[in-house]
Amino acid sequence: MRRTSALGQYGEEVATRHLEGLGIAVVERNWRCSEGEIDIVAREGATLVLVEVKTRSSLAFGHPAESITPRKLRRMRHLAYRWLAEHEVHAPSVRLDVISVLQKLSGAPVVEHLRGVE
Amino acid sequence: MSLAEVWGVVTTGIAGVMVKVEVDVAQGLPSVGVVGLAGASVTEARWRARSAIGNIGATWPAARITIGLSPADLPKGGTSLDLPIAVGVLAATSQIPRSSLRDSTFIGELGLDGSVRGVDGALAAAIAAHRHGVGSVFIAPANARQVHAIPGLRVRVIRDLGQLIGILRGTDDAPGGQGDWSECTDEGANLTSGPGVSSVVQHEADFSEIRGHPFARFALEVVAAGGHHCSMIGPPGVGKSMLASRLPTILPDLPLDIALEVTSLASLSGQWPTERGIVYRPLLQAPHHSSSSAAILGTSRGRQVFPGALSLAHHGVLFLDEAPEFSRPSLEGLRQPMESGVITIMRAAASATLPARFQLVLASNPCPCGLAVGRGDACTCTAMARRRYAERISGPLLDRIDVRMTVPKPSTADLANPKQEASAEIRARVLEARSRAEHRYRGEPWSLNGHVPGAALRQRWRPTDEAEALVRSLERSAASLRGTDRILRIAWSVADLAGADQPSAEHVASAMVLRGGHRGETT
Repeated sequence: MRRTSALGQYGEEVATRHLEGLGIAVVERNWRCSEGEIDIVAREGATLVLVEVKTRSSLAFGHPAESITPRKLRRMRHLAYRWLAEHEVHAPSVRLDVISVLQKLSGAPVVEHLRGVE
Repeated sequence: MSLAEVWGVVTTGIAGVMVKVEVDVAQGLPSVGVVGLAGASVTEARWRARSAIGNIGATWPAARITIGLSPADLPKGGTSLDLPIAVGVLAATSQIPRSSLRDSTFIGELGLDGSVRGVDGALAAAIAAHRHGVGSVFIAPANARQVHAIPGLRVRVIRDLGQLIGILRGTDDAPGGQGDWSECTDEGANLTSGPGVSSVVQHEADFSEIRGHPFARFALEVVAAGGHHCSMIGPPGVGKSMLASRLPTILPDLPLDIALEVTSLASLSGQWPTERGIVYRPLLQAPHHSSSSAAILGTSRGRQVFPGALSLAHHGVLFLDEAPEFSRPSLEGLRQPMESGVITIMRAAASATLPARFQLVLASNPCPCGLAVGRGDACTCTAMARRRYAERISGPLLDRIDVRMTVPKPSTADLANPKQEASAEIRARVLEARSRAEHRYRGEPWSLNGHVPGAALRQRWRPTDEAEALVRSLERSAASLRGTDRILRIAWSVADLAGADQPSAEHVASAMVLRGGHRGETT
C-alpha cells in the first residue's frame, strides 16, 4: 500500500511538472471532499481542467489510462461540480484530462496527456 | 490521430457484400467502438483483434479507436471482418504501410493467438471481391481450396496475423511458401483434378449397388439425359429412395460457374464444410416431409436470406420421399421455380432471387397402406382414403412432371443377378445424349429436352413420320396437348440416348410407357 501510494504521489508530481511545462497553471492538488478526490485542478486560459493521474510501474496490467472506466468518468464529472460549487470560481468551460505516467524500474517516466476524455 | 481504410466482405446469406472498414485511432481514453449496424459477432471482433495483435507482438494502441463499417445501414454478421479490423488498426497506427492495403481484400476470422481461421462464406465473399475488382484476396488456409477455384483471382493464403504483417511490410520470409501469389485460372478450368477440388474420399452411392429394377434404371437414365422431373410410385421398401439418391451419380459434373454458385450456397447454409473445396458433383437434397415450407423454398429474416432445399439442389436433385406427406404450400411452392429455374423470396424487408434449377424426384406409396400394387388385393385402404392420398399432389404439380414411373417389387430372378452397371458407365451415355441435345438446341436459351417449351417442340423439331403418326393418333384419342408435349420431350431424350437423329415410333412408344399415368389418366 505504501509503495503504491508513494508511486502515486511521485506520478502526481511528474504530472504537475508536465502541466506547468505546458503553461497550464495548477490551482490545487489532491482536493478532497466526502465523495472523493481530484488529483489536480488546473486552469488553461478560461478553461478549468480537472486531471486524474494514473501511475503504473509496468504495462503488465494494461495501459494506465485503460483503468479509467465510464463509471470513474461520471464520478470525476460529479466531483467537478462539487469543486466549482465550493470555490465559486467562474469557469466558462470545464474539461476532464487524464495523465498517465509510466515509470519503469529504470529510465525517465513516460507521460501521456489525454485531453478532454469524455 | 490517424485513419485507415480496409476492404472486407460480409455475406447476406447468398452473396457477399463489400464492406469498407474504417479505423480511426484518436487521442482519448482507451476504448474501442464499432459503428455501422454490427451484429454481436462483429462487435466481438474488436476483442479478438486486440488479443491477436497483442499476442503476435504487435501493439494495440491505448487510444480511442472507432471502427466504422460502411455501408452503415447494412446489418452485418459473421466473423469475416475480424481480419480487416485488425489490419485497419495496424495500418492506422503505422505498424504496416497504408499503401499496402490498396487493391486488397481481407477475409477471415482471428484466433486470440493471431491465427487466421476460415469462414463459411469465404467463397461468396471472394467472388464479391473479385466482381468488385480488387486485385488480391487474403484468406485463411481453410478457405484456400474453395477460393483458389475462382478464375483470375489472385489469392494469398495466410496462416496468422504475424505472417500477414510480414507480407504487407514487404519483408515476408515466412517458411513453407504458402503465401505465394497464385494465378488459379488453370486450376479452375480443370475441376476434376487440381488443388481446388475436394479429395475427401467418402462412400459414394452407385448404381452398381442396385439389384433388379431394369425399368427404373432405364427411366432414371432418360430422366438424367433430358433433365426431366420424375415421380416414382411403389410399395414401401422396394428401393425408391435408393434409386432416387443415385440419380445425382449419373448426372454430369457441374461447369465451373455453376459449381461456384452451388458451393457458395451450400457453404453459406453450413451444408458443405469449406475445407471440402468446390462442389463439382450435383448435390442431392432430400428434406424430410415434416420440413417447413420455409426450409424447402427458402426464407429471409430481415435482410438475411436463407436458401431453401430447392436452391441447394440447384443443378442437382431435389428428392421428396413420401411426397404426399409434404405440406401443400411446400409442394405448390415448387411449381413456379420448376418453370423459371429461380425462386424469388419476398418479405417486407427485402426480396431476393435465388437460383433453383433443380431436378425434382417425387416418391410416394400407391396408397396410405402402401399395398395397392398390381391388383391391389392386399390393400386395406378405402377408395376414399386412396383418392385423398393421391390428391395431395395437385394436378398442376403433377402436370409439370414428365416421367411418372411405377417401381414394382423386384422379382427373385432380378435379385439373383448380381452384375449391374455402374454409375460411371451410365453417366457416359447420359453425357453423350446431353451433348446431342445441346448441339441440337445450340443458340437457344435451353439445352435440355426437359426445358424445351411445348410450342418449339411441336414446330421446330419433328420426330420421324411414323412416330409423328403415332403422336397424332394419341392426340386424337386421349392425350391432352400438354400430355403429348411431355411424351415428345421424353421421346427426344430416349432418342438422344439411342443415338438417333429423330425419335422413331419405338422411341415414342417408350416415352409413352415412361410418361405412365398414376391416377388412371392415360397421359
